[in-house]
Amino acid sequence: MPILRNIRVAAVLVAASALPCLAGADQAEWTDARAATMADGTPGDADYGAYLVQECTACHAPDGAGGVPPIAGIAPGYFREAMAEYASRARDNAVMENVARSLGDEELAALSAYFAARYTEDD
Amino acid sequence: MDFSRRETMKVAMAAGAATLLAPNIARAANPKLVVVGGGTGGATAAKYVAAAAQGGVDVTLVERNPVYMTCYFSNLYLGDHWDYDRLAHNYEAMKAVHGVKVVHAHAQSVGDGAVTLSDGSTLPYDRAIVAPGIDFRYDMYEGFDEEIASTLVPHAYKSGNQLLLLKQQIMAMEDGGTVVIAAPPNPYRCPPGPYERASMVAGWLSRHKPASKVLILDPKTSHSKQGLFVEAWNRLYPGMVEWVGGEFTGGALPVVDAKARSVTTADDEVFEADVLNFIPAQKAGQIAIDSGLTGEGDWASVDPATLESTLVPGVHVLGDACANGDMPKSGFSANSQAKVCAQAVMAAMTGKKAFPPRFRNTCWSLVGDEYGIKVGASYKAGDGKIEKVDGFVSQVGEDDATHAATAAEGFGWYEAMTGDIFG
Repeated sequence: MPILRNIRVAAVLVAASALPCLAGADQAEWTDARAATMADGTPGDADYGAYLVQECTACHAPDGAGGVPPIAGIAPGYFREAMAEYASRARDNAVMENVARSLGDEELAALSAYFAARYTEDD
Repeated sequence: MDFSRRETMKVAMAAGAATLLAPNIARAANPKLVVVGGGTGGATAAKYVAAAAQGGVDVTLVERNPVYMTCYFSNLYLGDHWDYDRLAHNYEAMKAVHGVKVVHAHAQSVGDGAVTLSDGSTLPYDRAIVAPGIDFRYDMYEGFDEEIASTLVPHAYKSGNQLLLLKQQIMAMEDGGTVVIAAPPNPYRCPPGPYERASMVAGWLSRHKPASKVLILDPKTSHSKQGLFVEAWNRLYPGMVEWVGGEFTGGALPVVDAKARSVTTADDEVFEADVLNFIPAQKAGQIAIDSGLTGEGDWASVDPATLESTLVPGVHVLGDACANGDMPKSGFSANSQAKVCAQAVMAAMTGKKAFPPRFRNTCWSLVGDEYGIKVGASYKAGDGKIEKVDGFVSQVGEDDATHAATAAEGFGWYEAMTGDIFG
C-alpha cells in the first residue's frame, strides 16, 4: 500500500530533522538535574508531570507512528531544549509551538521531573 | 500509551502480596464509577480512572457494541486511504490490562445513583460519566428518518454500516454522476468532517469515475478550514467539487426525497443526486436527553473544570454530548475532556489531588494523497464554559513538503490516539 511507504519516509524525514539538535548536545547536559527545577530552584512536581504527559500521549505513540516521533524515554534536558525551540520557532511545527507556549516554568519543570524519573541512558 | 507500565506492575504485585498476607481483613467497599458509552470519551475516562485508582475504584463501562468503529478516519476509508477493519477497536486491553468491567448492554437512563439498562437491571454508582456521543434531529426534516438513513440515504456520520453503504453507493454510481453531501448546521461532530469527506470522495472519483461531481449543500454561510479546502479542491480536483453555502440554500435543507435522492432547500430549490449523503442536525446522545442532562436544549450543560452536569449532581458528561464551549466536537476533544474528568472523578471519589484542568484539540484533515491540513488550539476552564487560549491553523499556500508532513502527522496521531484509548 503506497501510502504506508510514504508515511515511513515522512517519519524518517521528521527524525532526521531532529538530529542536528541531538548531535550538538552533550549527553550529560540532557540529564542535568536542573532541567527538572523551576527558575527559582523549586523541584518540578513529577505527579503534575504525570498529569501533563497525558496531553502528549494523545499524539505520541510509545514507539512513535507516522509523522509523530516517540517521546517515551526522552531526556529531560533535551525535552526542555526542544520546547524552547518550538516556542521560538527555531523548530517549525504549529502543533508543538502551541503545546510549548501552553507550558510555563512550573509545567516544564514538572514534565522534566516526570521524564527524569523514567530516563535511563540505554533508553 | 502507558509511560509507567513498570511502576503499575510493581504496585499491582505489591497489592497482591498484601492480600495474601492479610486475607481475612475486611476491606471497605471500593467506590463505584459507571461510565456509559465506550467511544473515545467514555473509554478514555474509564481507562484513566482505572489506571489512576490502581484497583481502588470499581470501574464499569457500559457499551452496546463489542467493537468500536471510529468516526475519525472513516472518510479516509471512502477515499481508499484507510482500511475499514483498521477503524475497529475492541475492549480487551480495557478488561485485561486496566481491570475495567465491560458490560455490553444498552443503558437507558442515569440518575439517583444508578444506571438503568434496557433489561430493567441497574448498576449502582457513586459517580457516573455519560459519554453517549451524538444522536440526530430527524424531527427537523420532512422525508428523512433513521430507517431511510440506514437503507437509502446514509448519513454515515457514526462510521459502521452506513459508511459501508455510502461507499457501495459511490462505487455503484455511473461515471458522470453527482454525489451530494448535505452538511449539518452548527454545532455538530467534527466540523471539518463533511469537507474532508468531499475531498476523499472527489479523490476516489478522480481515479475511478473522473467525469463525476461532488456537490456540498450547506445550511451554513462558512465552514471549518474553508480557504484551505477550497485551495486543495482547486488544485487536486479542479472543477469537481462545488460548495453551495447558506446564502444560496436559505440556511436550511428541510426536505429530503429519498426515492428521488433529492434535497429541497429553504429557498425551495431542488438539488438532485445520484448518491445522496445527508448529514442531519445533531443533538446529544438520547440517554443524556432522557436522563434530564440537557434541560431544554440539545446538549448537556457542564461545569468546565470537572465536566460535572450542572443539572444532575454526581453525573459527568463529556465528548460530543456536552455543551463544550469553545472546543469543537471531536474525538481529540473528547479524549482531552475525559482526562480532565478522570482526575475530577478521582478527586471526588478518593480525595486524590486534582491539577488545574487543561484542554487541547487538533483536527487533521486529509484532502488528498500526502496532502494534509490541520487546525488546533489549547483551552482552559473559563467562566461557565471551556474557553480557547491559543490556536493555530494551516496556511493557504503551504508547500508540498508541509502538506505531506501534516498528512503523516495525522496518521501518527490516529495510531497514538487509539492506542491511548484502547491500548
